[in-house]
Amino acid sequence: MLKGRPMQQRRPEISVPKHTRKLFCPNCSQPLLNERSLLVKYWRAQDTVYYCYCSHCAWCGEIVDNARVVISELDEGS
Amino acid sequence: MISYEQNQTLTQVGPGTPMGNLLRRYWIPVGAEVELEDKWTKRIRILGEDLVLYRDLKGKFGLIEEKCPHRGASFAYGIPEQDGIRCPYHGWCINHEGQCTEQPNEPEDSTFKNKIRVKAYPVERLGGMLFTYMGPQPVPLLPRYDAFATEGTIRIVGQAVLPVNFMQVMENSLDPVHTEWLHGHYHEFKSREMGRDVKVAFSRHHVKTAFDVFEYGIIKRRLLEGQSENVDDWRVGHPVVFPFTLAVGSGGLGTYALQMRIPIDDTHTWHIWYNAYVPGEGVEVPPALQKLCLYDVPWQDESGEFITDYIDGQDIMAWITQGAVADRTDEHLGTTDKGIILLRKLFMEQIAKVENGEDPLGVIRNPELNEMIVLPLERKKHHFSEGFESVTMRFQTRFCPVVQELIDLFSKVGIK
Ligand code: FES
Ligand SMILES: [Fe+2]
Ligand SMILES: [Zn+2]
Repeated sequence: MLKGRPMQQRRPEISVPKHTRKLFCPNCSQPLLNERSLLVKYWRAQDTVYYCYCSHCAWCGEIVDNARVVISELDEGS
Repeated sequence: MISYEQNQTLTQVGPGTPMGNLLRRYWIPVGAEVELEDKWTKRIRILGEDLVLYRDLKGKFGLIEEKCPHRGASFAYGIPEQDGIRCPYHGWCINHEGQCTEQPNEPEDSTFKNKIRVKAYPVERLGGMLFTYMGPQPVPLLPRYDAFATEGTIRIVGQAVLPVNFMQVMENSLDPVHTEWLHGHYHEFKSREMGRDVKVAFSRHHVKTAFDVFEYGIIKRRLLEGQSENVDDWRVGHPVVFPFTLAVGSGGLGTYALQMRIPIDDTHTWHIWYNAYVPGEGVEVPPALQKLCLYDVPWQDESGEFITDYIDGQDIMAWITQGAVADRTDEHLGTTDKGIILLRKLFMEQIAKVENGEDPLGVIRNPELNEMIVLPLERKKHHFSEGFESVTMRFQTRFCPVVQELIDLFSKVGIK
């Protein structure tokens, strides 16, 4: 039981953890839920953020579900 | 929150797994030299493999799989030979390369022994410790980190076998804010419960934390409330040495402190606290401190509860209560967990490197770079500002049988 399972014996289907989106790499469009990539869901205040590392193209970055859009206006006259 | 499969990739260390393949690219501690002073063998389990560390009659160390290829008796009860070890059951002899060299009861002209080979790994010594390399050829250099390679240090080494996967122990090292709570406020709460009203430096609030990947791992830095950005805690920080070591800052005391988290298998970790102290100029080191002192670090009391009145015991409680393998499909990370996210990404990237046939981060092959690897460390660290004795007695070092001699030496003549 303590031995690691070799990759070939792994379940072929990919599980989607609860409340996680099934996201794809913005760079190469491969699924980010595969076992060698990383899709880490975390929270930044109201926003839900997905930190992504793509094992196909090595792209990394964040995908953000914005709860609100906030933009500060430029100061008049400056 | 990550997927079940990604959690498996990050936590399975057995032969043939992606993480197992990555970890096998590094030299791994397997024991201290003193352990094989009065005995010849030591049973160990590393990365899911059961092995026997031994010393042969010439004093050379070896490491082979535990079971004899004949009919499976353990080499832990083996007989040391000039070049290898002999099985106690029927006398088959295995050399350091794992080749069977003798089968005493087979016909004299038999070549059967040539067919028999077992897993065997090289062993090297450094800083009083023994290390092995379990990966493919060519073997890289054993990294000469300053803590191990500095000559003439006083060495005390704590150890514990913890029923927990190594990854959550490593994630703890990329989680600076836990120190404020677990070793600060919780420590103060525990002390109050025990009738001591103390305030510790650890409870100082974190203003910000930062993480940078460098050639041997990740440097982590913290800025605490009231500190200017010039302090060592923020300017210098201290590193997590990839893939399983934390180098704690020395606090300017001439000390090195490595915490090494060696995966025994998916659900157990051998934790080593390697402390080395550089004695001051011309200081005479008392006999009790001249030899590496290896000791056990207790983390459970008689009733099976965690011992949480010391710093490392607090960490151990947190790691183990997360579960043998933390369920990362059911966590809620926030912005202060960015170091943990970076660590996971670094592991995934290095797994990919190995699969592409490249050396992963920190593997050294150039002897010029390996004379002595000086790791970046704060010299003046807020967390250690309460002084040598207070800090030493609040860490696992309190369990070292020669800790009083160490404290006396330090208070009398000092450490560099
Ligand atoms: S607050 Fe972090 S584990 Fe509970
Ligand atoms: Fe800690
Ligand atoms: Zn991609």
